[in-house]
Parts: sequence; structure tokens; C-alpha cells
Amino acid sequence: MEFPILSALTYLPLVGALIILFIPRDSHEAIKATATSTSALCLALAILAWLAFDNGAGGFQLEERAEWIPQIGVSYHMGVDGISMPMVFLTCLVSLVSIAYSWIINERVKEYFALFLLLQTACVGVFVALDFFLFYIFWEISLVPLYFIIGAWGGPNREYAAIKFFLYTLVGSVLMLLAIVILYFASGVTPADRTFDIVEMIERQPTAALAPGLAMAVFVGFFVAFAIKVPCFPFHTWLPDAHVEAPTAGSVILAGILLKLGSYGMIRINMPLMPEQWALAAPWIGILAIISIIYGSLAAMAQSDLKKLIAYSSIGHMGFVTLGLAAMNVQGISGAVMQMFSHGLITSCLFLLVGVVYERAHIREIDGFGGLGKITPRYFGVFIFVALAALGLPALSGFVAELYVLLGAYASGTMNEVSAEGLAVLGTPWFAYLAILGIVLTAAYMLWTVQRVFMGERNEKWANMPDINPLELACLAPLMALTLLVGCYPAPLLKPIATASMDILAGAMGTQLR
Amino acid sequence: METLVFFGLAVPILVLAVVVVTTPHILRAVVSLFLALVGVAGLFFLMRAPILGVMQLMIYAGGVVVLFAFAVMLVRRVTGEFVRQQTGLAGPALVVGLLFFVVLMGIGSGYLAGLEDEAAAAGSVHPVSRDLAERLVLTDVPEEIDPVEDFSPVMIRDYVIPFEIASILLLVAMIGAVLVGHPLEQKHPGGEIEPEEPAEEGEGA
Amino acid sequence: MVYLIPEFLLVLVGAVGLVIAFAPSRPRLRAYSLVGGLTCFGGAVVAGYLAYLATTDLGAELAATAPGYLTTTLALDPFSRVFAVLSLIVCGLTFLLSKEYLETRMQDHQPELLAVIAFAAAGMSFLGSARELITIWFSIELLSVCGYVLAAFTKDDERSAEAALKYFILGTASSAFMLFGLSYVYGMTGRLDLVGIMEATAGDGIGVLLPTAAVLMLVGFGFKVAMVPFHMWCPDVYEGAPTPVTAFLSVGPKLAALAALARVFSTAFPHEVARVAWEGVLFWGALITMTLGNVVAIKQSNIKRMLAYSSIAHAGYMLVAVLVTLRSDLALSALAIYAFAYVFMNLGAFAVVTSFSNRTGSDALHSYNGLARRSPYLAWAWAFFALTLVGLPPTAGFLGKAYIIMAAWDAGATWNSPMFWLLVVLVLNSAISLAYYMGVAGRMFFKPPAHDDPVPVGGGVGTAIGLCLAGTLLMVLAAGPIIGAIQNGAVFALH
Repeated sequence: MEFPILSALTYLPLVGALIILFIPRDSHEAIKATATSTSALCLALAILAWLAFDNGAGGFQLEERAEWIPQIGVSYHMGVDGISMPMVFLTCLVSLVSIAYSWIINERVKEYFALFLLLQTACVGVFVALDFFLFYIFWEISLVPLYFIIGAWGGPNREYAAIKFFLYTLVGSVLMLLAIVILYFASGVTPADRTFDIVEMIERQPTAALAPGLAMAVFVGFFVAFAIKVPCFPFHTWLPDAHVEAPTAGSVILAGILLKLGSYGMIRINMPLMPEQWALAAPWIGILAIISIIYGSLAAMAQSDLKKLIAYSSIGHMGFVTLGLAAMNVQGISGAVMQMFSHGLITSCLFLLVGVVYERAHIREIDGFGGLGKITPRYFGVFIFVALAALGLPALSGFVAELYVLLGAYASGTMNEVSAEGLAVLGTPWFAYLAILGIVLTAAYMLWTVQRVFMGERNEKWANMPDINPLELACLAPLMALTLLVGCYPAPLLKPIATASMDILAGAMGTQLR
Repeated sequence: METLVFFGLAVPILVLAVVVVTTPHILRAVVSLFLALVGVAGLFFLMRAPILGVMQLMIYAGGVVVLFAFAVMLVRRVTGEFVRQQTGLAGPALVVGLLFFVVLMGIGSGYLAGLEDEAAAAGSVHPVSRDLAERLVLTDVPEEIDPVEDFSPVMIRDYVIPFEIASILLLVAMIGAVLVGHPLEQKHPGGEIEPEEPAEEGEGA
Repeated sequence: MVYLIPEFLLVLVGAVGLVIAFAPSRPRLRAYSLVGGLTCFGGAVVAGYLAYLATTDLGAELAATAPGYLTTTLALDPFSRVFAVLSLIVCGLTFLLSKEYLETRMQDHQPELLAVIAFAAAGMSFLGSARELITIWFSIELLSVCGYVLAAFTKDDERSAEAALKYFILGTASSAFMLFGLSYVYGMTGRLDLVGIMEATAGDGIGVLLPTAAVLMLVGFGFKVAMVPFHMWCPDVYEGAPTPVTAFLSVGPKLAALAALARVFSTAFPHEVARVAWEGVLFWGALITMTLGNVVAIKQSNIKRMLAYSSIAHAGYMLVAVLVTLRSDLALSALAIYAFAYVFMNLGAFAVVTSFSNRTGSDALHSYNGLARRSPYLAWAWAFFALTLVGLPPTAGFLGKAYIIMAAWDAGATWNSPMFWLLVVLVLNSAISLAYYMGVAGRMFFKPPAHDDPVPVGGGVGTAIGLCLAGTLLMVLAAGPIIGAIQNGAVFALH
């Protein structure tokens, strides 16, 4: 038997969390060091896993399979494809960054780091699980640590934000549980025949056997659960509250990884398992995506709180992911996954940067600053870089991703028939045009923010504000480097993603694309 | 003659039952209930169901009324005086009671009518009331067999398990009665005489 | 005879309790609660073996040659022994979690309380396997009378005495309804055993009396289960009774009544007219019970009342499994798995409450503020049990809920059918329940404590919490063997 690298990757943080439980409450340094080294080890494992992963081969690799509850066809099945592999890597990277940044935490340290490691386990688990039972377990576990992180280390209104976050996402996921059970019973006639295995189910296409109304209900059950997590308009209202109240590292991991769980679910479950329903619903999903993009950007523009602004910008950026998926072709899906990856990097940077300034000033009002560019030049430089990445400047990762999404949406809107690259489900190129408007708006609020915070009259109140320190820079540097790398040379990332996208479309269309 | 005895018992039972729910004095209600239950036992004897009659006397007139007496003592402890029955809900209670009566009569008579049809179809010579009596009372056996003689082996052979469960039940009820009945002021170091004999009974189960 | 070892053990434990009640001193109480608890866990292993035995050919042979007094009254099937395992576990856990409470909060009559709990557990076990009306009746009465006695143990407290009285009067009334129904069934069929009743009602000509009788019996069971609208006693009694007793009452009578409900109605009334009646009542009963329980629980300010309403809601979930016993092979498995999960999570939650109130004397929700700083073990244990009670993975509560949903869907639910909407209501209810369970966890973790005094956890109750944690987790992690065993055992013998 091969080394079960995915299980190791998933449970290593949990082991770290258990070790932390046995470290005395007051030895902060030891706890922090344990957490950081565990997370670093995970990143190393993730890189090893990616090296062992064949980018061009397609299909699920590094699979692990074992019996779990054979009575009802539940198995312990893990594996990664070209979409989950980058996501696993991203999870490990962002987790490491947020744990490293959390060295500034000095209150209830033990619980904090144990929860963070638990969260990492849950997120990696969702990305590698290939059995509905396992997937659902990790999916639900991911809610719990963040609830406590927001509630215990958050801002003044943290309790409300925490329970709102938990309730919203739980409502979605219990509906998903119902949908999973319905799919399970559709997957076979006799009890011995039925399965919870996702790969097996994609082959059997159980929705075909369901009544149209029920199939649509199942689709909606999954979609709402994922859309709440993404979050897609009109399910987004929990996000600004959660972000504003969460501690910086919590925001980073929430925006950087947890939102991706939603869009990942759409790719992994909704599209291949319910392609007909997806094709039917695609224009509506597209409309929701466009509303998310434009509403997110406009709302971001109207914010006076820096963190809320970033939160709304996340809604806008994740709208591109949904739009790319709605397009249902290779460019669209690849673009969506690229956007997930790139948004994971960029928005993590943005939240870290807000954290940096909040640590010093203890306010986040945009108008409370001014002229910071001269006081903290290095911080200014980093912020400009990240802001440009967020607005989609060419040669940075956001540009590649958004370009692909736009191409996909345009192709899906203009082609008349099924082409080799996917389906023409959107029906009109207006989706692409409106999304471009969204990009323009993003550029507008990003640049306006930079202007208000860094340019203009120097605010003497902050004259002694220290510049960005090495720890913070060390946290930001790998994310920024990857942003640049992916922007200039996207091929290594694009190759597995495109291969996996073709697999998914092939499954959905019942043909062989590659 | 039987009709005469029946009414001689039924009318007092009804009167006593009305007294149970209307009297403001709770002890008087308990006593009336006791007498009504004794009357019902008489009805069972009248219907040639001596075992049921004895049971009725032992369990209801004996056991249940004693339980009620304990309940009254508990109430007395709580409030320090005798509770007067609330009569505010008399109207609704009357309506519900009547409704229940009507429904039961309707269902019962419907059931009887069904039996009549069945009996007529089968060409039965017995009146339906006899069939019903046979079904309701433990006399599914020829009359010459003594029901008591027939009953006791069944109880301690086939139904020994419920019998033993009942013994544990009574044991627990006794513990409860002792606990509840204990005066509050007296502090006892523990159980006194009462757990002694039940303990043996419990082990036998 | 060997089948009755579990019940025999429970009665023995109770009887020993009465004997040592002569001179209760601390060491004796400690020894009794420990030895009694261990006996129960040992008995649970034996009962588990008996359950396994019942699924084998050897077991079938033994059942066929069993003496008449066993076969007449008790069903010698795997399910009855699975339920015996459950009764013994409940009794053992209650013994462990009671010890500190009895030492700190009660002056006398400590062993009697444990003894009555053991007798009640025996009644539970009998009720789970009873297959004819007389045994059912006596078992349920044994359980009820034990309940009345247990609820009245702290009669010094006025609220407690009032609650006990309410429980007693309402319980007796519901028993009367049930007995009324039982006697009608017997009068119509002339049979006492459930299978006989089923055979006697197979044809036509039974009319409306049978469904009426079935519904009357349902009233009696509904009271024990705390099905709306027969739940009124529940919050008062739970609040007034000693906390370990509340823990037992929230688990024992409820589960036993549910098991009996499933057995009685699926065995005796599978035919059209009566079946439509009881399934209809159970459908609406389950729907209203779970919703009312959860919604009212949100507004409570006393943790025992809150858990009372939450236990009403859980009864609603389990009623769904009972509702589909005739329609799905998974229903009994779902009921059994949920029952096990419920024992661990609910007793665990009550163990936390007991442990807290032993030291602080308070059950008010606000006194839990900041518990995470005062006793991390209790706070994390509560958080864990809360998540289990909501039904979040990876815990037994999730598995139980998933099984109930599966059973209900397996029962032939289709798009837009009533069952579909019942399931939607069920899953939304678990989201509602998050609000109050995690609300308490939020108090513990997010609010500042009134003062920083630590809340130490006693050995017995700490062990009980640990066992419950282990139980809830193991049911998922080792799901293959455990669930397999329960699922194999969740079978009624129809003979």
C-alpha cells in the first residue's frame, strides 16, 4: 500500500491540535511554534502531493479507499483531481500564512491555535473527500471552528456575527443533507446497490431516474447550500458581518478558503451530477452572478469601513467564479477555478493589509486616514501591488482568471450549438459585457480607496505610525509572489485545471472531450 | 330481577360519580370515588365475572383509592390546607365528556349493529348481546368451568413475567408512598422498616 | 431464561440498593454507585452478546425451544436485546452521574433513588421486548410509577412537589386512556398478543372501533414520549426533579415508549383502517412536536427547561422513524441508532448541567456565562454535546439524523409528497435548534464570567461525561462494526 498522503495531509493539523491540547495553557511560544510547524509541514506535504500528481493525466489521483459503513454504501474515499489539487495547496498555504500572522494573538492562545488547525483539517478534507458522507462531515466541521474564532476573538458585535454565520450556512447544509439522501436512494434499486460514492454516482447519473421536479429540488438543495457559502447574491448577507467582526486571520481564512468550498461544491457536485438541471438553470445562475459582481462592487464603493469594503469586493470577485461556472464550457470553468485560486491569494493579502493598519490605528475608517503613503512607504507599495492585482491588472493572477471567465461567458452566450469546448447555455453575450462593467467598477473603488488612504493631506494623527514589519511582510510575500508568478506564467496551474474541467464537462455531456 | 339489581347499582354509581367531580371537599370526593368503584365491582359480579369483580375491589377500591389518599396528603403538604376543586372549567369539561359519550355510543352501537348483521348472516340463534358478553368478559369457555380455577394457573404460569413486573411495580409504589408520606420535620438516617420486606420480593423477581 | 439476564441484573441492582439503604454512609453510596454502574455496563456487554445470538441460527433455535412463559409475553428477537443494552447503558450512566449530586444536594434516601432508577431501567427493558398487552401495560406502569416516585424525591421543594403532582395526575389520566384502548382491542379481538390481534383484525367488519382504540393507546404512549399535545408535564417536571432524575426521565421512559410504540403499532395494526389512523396521528404529531419543541426552547432561561423542550423536539424526530416502521426496512435501524445517539448526547448534556449545578447550585442560563474560563472541560463538553444534539458531524447525532432521513425517504417519499415536506421541516428544525444549543455555548465562550472561581468536576460525573463523549464519537468513527451490529439487531421477530 502506498503512503496515504491525502489522509496524512488532512489529519496532520488535527494531530497538531491534539498535541496543543497537552501543552500547558501558559506556554504561548510552544503552542504557536507547534501550530506553525504543523502547518508548515502540511504545506510541504501538499507540495509533495502536487509533485506526485500528474498534471496532464486527468481523473482522480492519489486515491484512497476503505470500507466504512458498508451497510449503507458509505466508504472512506479520498482523491484529488486537477481542480482540488491547487485548492489543497492554496488551503495549506493560506492556513500557514494566517497561523503565522496569528503570532500577535495573546489571548486564549491554546484554544485559538487548536481551532485554527481543526479548521485546516476540515477545509482540506472537503477538497479531498470523494464520498458524500465524508464530504458532508468535513463540510459541517468547517463551520464550527470559525464560529468560535469569530465569537471569541472577534470585534464588538462578534456574537451576533458568529451565530448569523453559523445559522446561514447550516440552513444551507441541512438542505444539502436531504438532497444527498435523495441522490443516494436514486443511485441504486436495492440497498446493496446504493452508494454514497461521488465518483460512482457521477458515472451512474442518478438524477436521470428522478422526476423532473424532484431533480430540480435536489439541484436547488445543493446549489443553495453552496451559494450561501460562496456567497452569491441574495444569500450574501452574513458575509459582511462575519468579516467585519472576525479577527484578521479569521477573515483571511474565511475569504481565502471557506468561500471556495462553496464554488468547489458546485464544480464537484452540481455540475457533473446534475448537468441537465445546471444547463436549465445556467441563465438564472448567470444573472445571480452578474448581480453579485455589480452589487458587490457598488456596495464596496459605498463603504466607509476598510474591512467591509474588502468583504463586499469578495462578493464581487466570487461572482466571477459563479459566472464562469454558469457558462458551462472549458474556458468558463477553468477561469472560475483560476479565479478561486487567485482570489484566495489576493483577498488574503487584502485582509492581512487591513489587519496591519488596524493593529496600529485601531480604526478602519477609510476617511480616518490620509497621506499614509508618505508615512509608511513600504506598506503603501505592498498595498498598491495588491490593489492592482485585485482590479485585474495584466501580468497578475486576477487578470488571467477574469479573462478566461469573460471568454467563457462570451462563448457560452454567442455560440449556437454544442461545441467541443462545452455548452452554449447563457444565450446572450450581455453577461460578458456586464461583467466587464464590474471590472471597471472594481478598478474604480480600488483606486479610490488607495487615493483616500494613502494620498492627499497627511493626517498628523498617524505621523508616528510604524511601517510594515518583517513578520507581516513574510506573511504577505509568498502570496504576492504567487500572484505574480501565476499572472506571468499561468500554464502550470492552468494545465491541471483545464484537464479536470474537461473531465467534468465530459461527464456532464456524456462525451469524451480529451 | 337482574335488571332491577343493575339499575340498583348503576344509578348510585352515576350519582356518586357526579359527586366526585362536583364536591368541593376533596376527601369527600375520594370517598365517593371509592363507593362508585365498589358499585362497579358489583356490576362485574352481576355479569358473572367474579374475577374482574374481585380485581376491581382489590386494585381500584383498594389500591388506587389509597394512592389518591396519598396524593391528597401530598397536596396538603404543599399548600397547607385542603384543595378545593376548581369548577371554572366545568362547562368545557361537561361538553368534552358528553362528546366522548356520544362518540362512544355511536361507535359502540355501530359495532353492535355490525355484529347483528354478521350474526343474522351466519344464522346465529344467540342474541348479539351474548356474543358481546363472551367477547368482553373472560368467559370464552363453557360455563361449567370455574373461572377462578382456570385463571390462577394462567396467571402464574404463562403470565408469570407480567406478574413479577407487577410485584416490582408495587414495591416501587410502596417506596414512593413511604417517601412522600414521611413527615418533613423528621430527619431519618435512612430507610427504616419499609425496605426490608420489599427487598426480598424484588430479589425474587 | 438466559434471555432475561439483563432484566435480572437490573432488578438485582435495585434490590441491593434497597438493602444497603439501611445505613447509607458515604463510602457505601460511593461503592454502590460504582459497583451498580459497572454491573450495568457489564450487563450491557452480555445483552449485546444476546442480541448477537438472537440473529444467529442458534438463537432462533433457542427462541423456538424457550419456555412458554417467555414466549407468551416477551419477544425473543434481536431488537429486544438491543434495547436491553440501551437500558443497561442508561442505568449505568445515570448511576455514575448521580453520585456527586446525591452527595452534595441530598441529605438522605440516596440509595433508594438509585434503586428506583434501576427498577425503572428494568421496566424500560421489559417494555422494549413486551409482545402482549398485559406485559406492555405493566411495564409501562412500572416505568411510570418509578417516574412519579423519582420526580417526588425532592418533595421539600415546593416547585418540585407541584411538578411531581402534575406528572402523577396527568400520567394517570393518560394511562387510563391507554388502558381504555387496550381493553377495546382485547374486547374486539379476544386476543392479548400483538400477532394475534393482527390476525384477528385482518378481515373486514372491524369498523371504526379499532382505529379509535389505536388512537386511545397512542394517547398513552404519546404522554410517555412527550408528544405534543401531551407534553405539558415535561418542562415542569424536568425543572423540578433532581437533575440526575431529569437526565434519566429525558431518556428512559421516552425511548422505551418509542420502542414499544414501534412494536405495537407495526405488529398489531398493520391493516388499512387502523393504520391510516395511527400513521396520520403520528405524522402530524411528529411534525408539531419537533417544531414546537425547538421554537419554545429558544425562549427558555433555565437550562433544564430548555433541555426539556429540546427533548420534546428529539422525540419528534424519533417519531418520524416510528411512523415509517411499516414502510421502510431502515426504520428500526434508524430508531435504534438515534436512540443510542440520544442516550449519549442527552445524558452527556445533562451530566454537564448536573456537574455545574452541583458546584454552583444554579440552573439559570446566565450563570453559564464565561464557563470556558472557569472550567474548560465542562464548556468544551457542552459545545460538543450541543453540536451532537444539533446533528452536526462527525458525531452520533448526525448519524442518527441521517438514518432517520434515509428511512423516511425510503418509505416512499416523492416530490411534493407530505413526507417530503416533513423531511424539509425536520432538517430546518435542526437548524433552528442550533440557535439555542449554541446560544448556551456562546455564553460559555464569548461572555465574560461573573467571577473567576473554577468549577471542579467530580469523578463520577466526569467519567460519565467522558463515556458519553466517547460513545458519540465512536459511533461514527467505528461506524462499520457498531452500526452494523445495531442494524443487524434492529429486527422484530414476527412469530
